[in-house]
Amino acid sequence: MKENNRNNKSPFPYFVGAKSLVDLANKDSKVVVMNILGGESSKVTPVSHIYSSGNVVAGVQYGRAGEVLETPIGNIPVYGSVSDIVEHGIKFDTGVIYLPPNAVSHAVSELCAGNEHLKQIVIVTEKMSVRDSRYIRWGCQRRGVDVIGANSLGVANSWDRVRIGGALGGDKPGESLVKGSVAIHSNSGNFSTTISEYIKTAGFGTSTIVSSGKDVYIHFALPEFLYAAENDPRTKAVIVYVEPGGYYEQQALEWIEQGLYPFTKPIIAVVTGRWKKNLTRSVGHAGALSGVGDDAIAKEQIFDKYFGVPEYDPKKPKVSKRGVRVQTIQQIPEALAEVMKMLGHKSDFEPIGDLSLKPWFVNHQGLHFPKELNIESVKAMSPYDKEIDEANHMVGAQYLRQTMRNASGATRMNKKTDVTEIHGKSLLDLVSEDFGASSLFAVLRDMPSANQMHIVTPVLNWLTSEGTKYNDFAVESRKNGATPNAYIGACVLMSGNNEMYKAFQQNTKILIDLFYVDIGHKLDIEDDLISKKLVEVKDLAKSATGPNDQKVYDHLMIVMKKHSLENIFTRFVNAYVEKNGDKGGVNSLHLMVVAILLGVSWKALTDRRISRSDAENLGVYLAINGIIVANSVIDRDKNKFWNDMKSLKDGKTLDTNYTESCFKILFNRAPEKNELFALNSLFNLTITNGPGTLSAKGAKESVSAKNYISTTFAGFMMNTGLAHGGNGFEAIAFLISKLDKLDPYAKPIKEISGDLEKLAATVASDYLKYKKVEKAKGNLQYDKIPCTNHPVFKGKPVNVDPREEYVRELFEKHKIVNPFLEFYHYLVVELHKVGATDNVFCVNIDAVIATVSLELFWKQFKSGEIKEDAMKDLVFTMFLFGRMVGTAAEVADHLNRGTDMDCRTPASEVQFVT
Amino acid sequence: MQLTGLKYGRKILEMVEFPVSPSLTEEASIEDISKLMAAHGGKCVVKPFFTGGIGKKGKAGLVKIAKSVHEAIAAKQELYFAKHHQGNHTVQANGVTFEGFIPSDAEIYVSITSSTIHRQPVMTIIVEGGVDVEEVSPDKKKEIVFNPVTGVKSFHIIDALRELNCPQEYISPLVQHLPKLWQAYDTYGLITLELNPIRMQSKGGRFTPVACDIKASFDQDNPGWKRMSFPEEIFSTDITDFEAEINLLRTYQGQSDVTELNPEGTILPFIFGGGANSAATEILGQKAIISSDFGGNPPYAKMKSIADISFKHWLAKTNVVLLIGGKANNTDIFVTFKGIFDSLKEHIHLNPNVQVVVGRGGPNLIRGMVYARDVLDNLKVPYRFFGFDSSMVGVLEHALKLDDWIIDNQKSGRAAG
Repeated sequence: MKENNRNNKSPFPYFVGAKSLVDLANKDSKVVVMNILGGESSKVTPVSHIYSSGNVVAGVQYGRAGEVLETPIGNIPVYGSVSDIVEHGIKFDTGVIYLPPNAVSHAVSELCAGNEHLKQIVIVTEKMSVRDSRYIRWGCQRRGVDVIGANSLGVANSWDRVRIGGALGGDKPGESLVKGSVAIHSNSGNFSTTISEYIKTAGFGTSTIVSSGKDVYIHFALPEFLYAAENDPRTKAVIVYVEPGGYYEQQALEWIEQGLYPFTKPIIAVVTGRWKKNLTRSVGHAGALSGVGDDAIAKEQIFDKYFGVPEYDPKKPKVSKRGVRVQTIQQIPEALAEVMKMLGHKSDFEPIGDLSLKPWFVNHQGLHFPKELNIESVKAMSPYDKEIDEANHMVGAQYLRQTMRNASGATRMNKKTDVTEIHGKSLLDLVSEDFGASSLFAVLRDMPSANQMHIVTPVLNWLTSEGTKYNDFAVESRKNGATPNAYIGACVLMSGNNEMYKAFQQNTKILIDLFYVDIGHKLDIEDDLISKKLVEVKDLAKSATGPNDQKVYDHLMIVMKKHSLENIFTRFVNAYVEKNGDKGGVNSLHLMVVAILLGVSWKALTDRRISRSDAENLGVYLAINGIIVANSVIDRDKNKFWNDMKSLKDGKTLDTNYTESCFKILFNRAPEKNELFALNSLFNLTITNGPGTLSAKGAKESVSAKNYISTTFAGFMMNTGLAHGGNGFEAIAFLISKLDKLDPYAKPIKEISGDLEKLAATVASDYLKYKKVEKAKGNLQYDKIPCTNHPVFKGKPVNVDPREEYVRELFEKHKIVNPFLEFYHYLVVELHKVGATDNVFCVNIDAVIATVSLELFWKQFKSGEIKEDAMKDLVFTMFLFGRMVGTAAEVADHLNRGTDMDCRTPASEVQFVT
Repeated sequence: MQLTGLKYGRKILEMVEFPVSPSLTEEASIEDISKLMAAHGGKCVVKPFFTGGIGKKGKAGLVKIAKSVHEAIAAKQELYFAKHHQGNHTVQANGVTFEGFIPSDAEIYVSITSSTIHRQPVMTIIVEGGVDVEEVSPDKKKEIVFNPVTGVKSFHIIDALRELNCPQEYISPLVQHLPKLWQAYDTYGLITLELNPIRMQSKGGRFTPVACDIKASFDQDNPGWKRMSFPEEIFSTDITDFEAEINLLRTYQGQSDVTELNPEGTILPFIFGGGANSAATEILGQKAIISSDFGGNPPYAKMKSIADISFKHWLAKTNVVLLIGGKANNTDIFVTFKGIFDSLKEHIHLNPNVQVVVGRGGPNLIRGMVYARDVLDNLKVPYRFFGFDSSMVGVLEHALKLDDWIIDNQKSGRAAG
């Protein structure tokens, strides 16, 4: 088939356009890339474009005409089709295809049909069908277009610094593609670069490299490559990397022997894949499956016969003027040097490096290896040594950026238990943890120790005290009827990116940079190092000083000393403060808080469980929590504790357990021991309900829009409302209505059990009547009893929500019996007894939240101290407290992993409804 | 993906109405076999049924012609679990077919392949059936190289048959039917189609070419073969459970080709790139549990899934986890290493004594190595990472020596990791 022979002198029985290797890629090549904005091309094409001094004249992206592919040397225009490019007067001779396999043959047709100047097409796509490949062959032969590929990394010209197609030479092509006298034809894209690197060790560079691909059809195969290499004055030798399958090599060498075309240059050949002989399907390259006479051994024999010498033996090197076959690519540099020496050719440059074993990273982990295995690490070659050095300064976990819409690396619903987990810890396991500690765990993935909490707690309380500053806004908002999420959210929003937040972030960063390389994992106090760092430290962020700062600072110092919680950071800060005071505007307290929190974060950070930004932002998350807690107060004038917290007249206020502080601000009274445990459990239980919840989504969407952390918290709050804890509130309303005439606290619980059971029977019976009436009316949406039944925990004769069961048992251990919850348990039994339900429904986890809440304010509600509206606000606010901690986890996770605008809904999924 | 024999192969031919010898499976009743034999001059051909491919050699020696139902049943018993050897590759039958005997004076061999010599499709015709095509002298076979767009034409076949001195009476019926094979080949994603033999059935003085055996191989990358709706069992012997799990991840973005080489091996290699796959597997030999090509810039989730499956199957018996490849062009080293080492973290309980050797280059190399270093330091796993300036072969040899040393220590009861 020789239907359109652009190269009239081509000796082949088929079309070959390129006369010389230079024709395949040179300074005049003008390239159009199909699917230019696709994932792979958008990364590779800019590198090729820069390396090739801007040879990509346009790209095609169906449906995205008018966009551009940005590159540092200018934008590449994107058109809707090849004809669109041609109509705009853009000329090109080379097409590169990055499309999925089933679209490749269409793109080839489009390139051939739309552009009369087309000379060649490079197909990068892998896994193309043989059928499409043969049609491409047929079409391009008729049209007179050379094809390289498919599954090719393209072609590169190291003399002109041009690469076309895929990523030959990787992301640093100049490193591997060094000008020289050797041409490479490789069935493996990776080996084309690797061999280029290897021959540098013998002082040889490359002229042109062709990554042929190794599909069944190789469109630019060895015969035409050798022909073009012969006609290329730059090329003095050829390296051929060959795998089993196909008769291309046999044909190339036979044609030389037959004189079809002259070939006078030496070849270094390497054939791999003897082990593939007995495979009945391809592994790796699709075409590397041999039939008869084209397995690795047969190919080795063909080359050996052509060279006239056996396989290269490094111990007894013997080569011919025609070249030699080597066993492994490692032997290529040596054999190449031998052949070139025999022919009187000098190397292209002084050898660069060598191929000896040079481990860059080694850790024996205490094992003793024998001498031959005990290879110590060496300094990596430039520029990798610098990268390693930089990496050694890097601290914290590294994440891949990805779309985080509907995804989270912080929380998940365990499908087996139906219990939400945060950082791999079930909420049920979290119930007994101190809520203040949980607020750090959400970010650190490590639970602070009880000892660490001695210093963390005053920090949390001080941040709550700081949060009271915003309360005027809350008071004003409440007057206007704002709901808790709105008036608390307003305060959080007002905090913006304030000086204190900036000081927390910037100064954490500075302390990490200052100490990490020297101290690694350890926090031991080293006075010499501290002295050295006191001299080195600079650019600490400034922030305004408050009236209580010195008092708080002193208190923190006392606590740390008392509990032996000083570390190198706190000692450094103390030394800094002693030396400089507040000179230069650096707030000593803010700096000390940074040191304390960094000390708590250090293990998680240096073990790379959290990122650097997690550590830097920790203070900000906790400060926002402080604003939320401080501004939840309902009547600040009557709340003594809130005023104590604001004024901090008594430093001991700072040592109040964090949950207790929350309790006192919410309920304006001191909690009983059991109440404190119940509230602490309640907060921990509501921290998260998985990444899909509205509160998490609100915060994540705000992160994806690149907001400050305070705004992302407002995002969480703006996405919550009275519907939240809705079931809980419905349950409270339900319980209040049913227990209106029975005071469950009038007598000890044992004595009122009978009353509760009787009441449950009455309620069940009434409910059955109601249900029947509603059904008779045809209303199937009749009211259900809140907090009973569950979509998962159902269908058995007696059903149990294991989460509720767990908490109930835990409460029992603490001798806490909640009459409302007991009532619920009587009720589900009675409902079944009277026939209102098919089986005994479970009492679900929402009932725990509702009944605990109700218990906490029952007395104040009954006394009229708390009105119904305030009660609603309280239920909602308690929910916000729990969720603020979960939000910190989601925001931190999204900041680490997410991409900008990754919460956007794709246009294809958006509907218009009428 | 290959199939052999008429049990399923007949479906390909029936789709294009190419005559095919009637056949029954091993489940046929004596009555059905009697009927089949009665319709074919009292004879039937009994052949073992192999799933997947059986290599290049045919089933010669494993075919019985039965002249009675008794003989047919005896042949069934003999061939049901027959073994077929080629080189060191052995496959075992799992069933038989009973095929109607087609009396014929002549047998024809026909195949269509994708020729790498002509880089076009080629139909090969030999007017002698049951032969091994490679052993037939060139003057007795005719290759028709044809245009894939227009397909093989009648005149191509007439000219070839005339040159081969095919009996005149067969030419017209062959010309009528052989072009249909291209239709099947082109439509159903075939790479090789071989009918050997075709026997010329005479009916009322007219001849019909009847396919009496078939070998076919399909292109995994061409979904055309799915139109045949073959049951999965046909190709089942081709792949192991491990390979099947990995192949579920096969997408156009990033190769995920693996083959299980030696389940008793002790080195678990993650090989990147087709070239490295070919070269590294050769050097690792029997120590390699699998051969793989995980190049092609697989995304994180895919690499993690690949590693999850690999560790789940093999980590417990692995001495050395080896990551080997040249200097990657496009594969993101950080992404692939993160996938593998995140997975190792989750699976390390299966074998806390494993060691790791890496030989790699490419984009994001240091970031990837640093990530791997930190994970392995936390896991207390010994490691040695080589850059692309170390010989890949040298790294492979290092891994082999390390594995030998670990095995020696295991034998002597000393801890080696």
